[in-house]
Amino acid sequence: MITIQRASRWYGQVIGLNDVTCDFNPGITALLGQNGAGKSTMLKLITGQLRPTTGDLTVFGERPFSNPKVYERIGYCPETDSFYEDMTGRQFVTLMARMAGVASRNVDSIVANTLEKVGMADRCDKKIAGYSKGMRQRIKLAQALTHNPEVLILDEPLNGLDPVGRRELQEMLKGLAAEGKTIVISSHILHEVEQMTRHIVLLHKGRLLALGDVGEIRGLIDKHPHRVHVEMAGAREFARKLMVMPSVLSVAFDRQNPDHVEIETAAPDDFYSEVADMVLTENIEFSAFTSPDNNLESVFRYLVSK
Amino acid sequence: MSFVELLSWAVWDLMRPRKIATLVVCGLMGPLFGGLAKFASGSAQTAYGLAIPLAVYSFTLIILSVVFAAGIISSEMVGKTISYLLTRPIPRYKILLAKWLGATLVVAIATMISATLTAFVTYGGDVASSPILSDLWLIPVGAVAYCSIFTLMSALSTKPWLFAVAFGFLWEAFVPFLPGDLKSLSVMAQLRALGSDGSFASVPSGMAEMLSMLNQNELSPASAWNTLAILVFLSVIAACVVFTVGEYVPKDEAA
Repeated sequence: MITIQRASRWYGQVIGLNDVTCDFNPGITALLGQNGAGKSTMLKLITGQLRPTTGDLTVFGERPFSNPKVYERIGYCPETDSFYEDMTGRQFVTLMARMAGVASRNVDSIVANTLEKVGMADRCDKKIAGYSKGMRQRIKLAQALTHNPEVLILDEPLNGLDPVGRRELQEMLKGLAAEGKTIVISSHILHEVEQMTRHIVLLHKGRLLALGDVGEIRGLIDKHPHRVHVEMAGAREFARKLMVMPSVLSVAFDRQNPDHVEIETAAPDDFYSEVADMVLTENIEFSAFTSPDNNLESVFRYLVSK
Repeated sequence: MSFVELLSWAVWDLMRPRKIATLVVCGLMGPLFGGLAKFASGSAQTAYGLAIPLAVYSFTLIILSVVFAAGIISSEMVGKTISYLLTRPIPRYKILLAKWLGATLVVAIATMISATLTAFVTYGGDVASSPILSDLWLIPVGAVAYCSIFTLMSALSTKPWLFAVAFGFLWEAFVPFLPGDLKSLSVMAQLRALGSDGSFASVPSGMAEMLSMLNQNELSPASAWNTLAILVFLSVIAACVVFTVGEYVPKDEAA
């Protein structure tokens, strides 16, 4: 669907994207990175607002810059919170739908359905100037969806949405991905992205830092100690047994909470397997068993700090 | 989306309250100036001959063209709405043409209304004896010419207003009175050649007339038509090409 081959993009002396090669295929792909990592630059290249300075980028086999054929099949939700403020939400979405090629005889019903889908059906006839951040975000999403595009490019779409709105959007995007659409979603709210997809593209200072399944990426960094928090009665006795395991690097207690113990392991898979055996054979009971390193946040933190 | 729909959207976009206020204020300059001139001179012909060239052509027409045409692209950049337009399956040149035509229509109609009001203020009930009819066909020609040039500036520059104001109020104020063929570089000089039977025929004496006396090479209407047609054609084509191949990303979004 989207192929990026050694693409770089310079803004004068500043590099926005540096020699990036990756593909985006059907399903949800999260584009992650800190501010200035190059996420928006990559999305602007994909949506043909910019050209790569070097390298190549194609969408459906065509270069997207100023290419209406590509735009017929792309829905883009920009990060910036900008609209024609004097329009109502419905007018804006209708204008964008017509510009996207939705036939005039269908546009009213399609716009109504889309506004319903993004939860704006009851508020869409007020002027956009009076909208809250969350409402504006929903309208931006609606305009990207009206022409039923095969590819959705969403730049920080979760910003400003309340928890219910985020959950609704996540479910909606999962549904669209299940229909076979290619969805690229940029975010720095990692745990929310993690709830939608395991497939990530991680950018840092314009470079591609990691690409693929979160679990696979986590495997690549297994040199870094993986922490596990355990909460249980008799934590000291449990810790004593752990110390003889070859997979365990260290064990630390919380002085204020003697039932809490934190274990560091360099081989998480071996560790989890050995602990599972121990639980079965010795009938151990945990109050809590969690790993702060089993999420995207930690993957991101580890890779960036490398 | 048809071109007519695009055009109606472009006109709607120009009819925001703040822009309508600009239209009204600038449009009233001619009638106000005409009223003052009539009061001072007592002559309808003199008042009209002062107000139309100085207030309507040299101010209202130019300032409205600057406001409405020079902002065609830059207002979308400033408002950061450009990304919506550039990611729609519509060729960029069509968007630009619709916006250019919309701006031209608004500028022409507003300036024509201003000129008509000026005629009523200066001639009163005897408006039929004024040269308003010849001005009413000349104003759209001026609007097309200025809007084309300013649209090109909008496509080329991130600060088109600066260049448009400099062109409209410095270049156009002095170049028409320069000697030799240099005056042909001015749109206003071409309009003067086309409107020699209208209000421009009665441009008042003063510095302008003294300067124009230096110029013995009057432009002919035929050459003025040709020059303006070429100017409009080249400006619009160049603007379409530049807008199609150019990158338009608001500054704080780049990088």
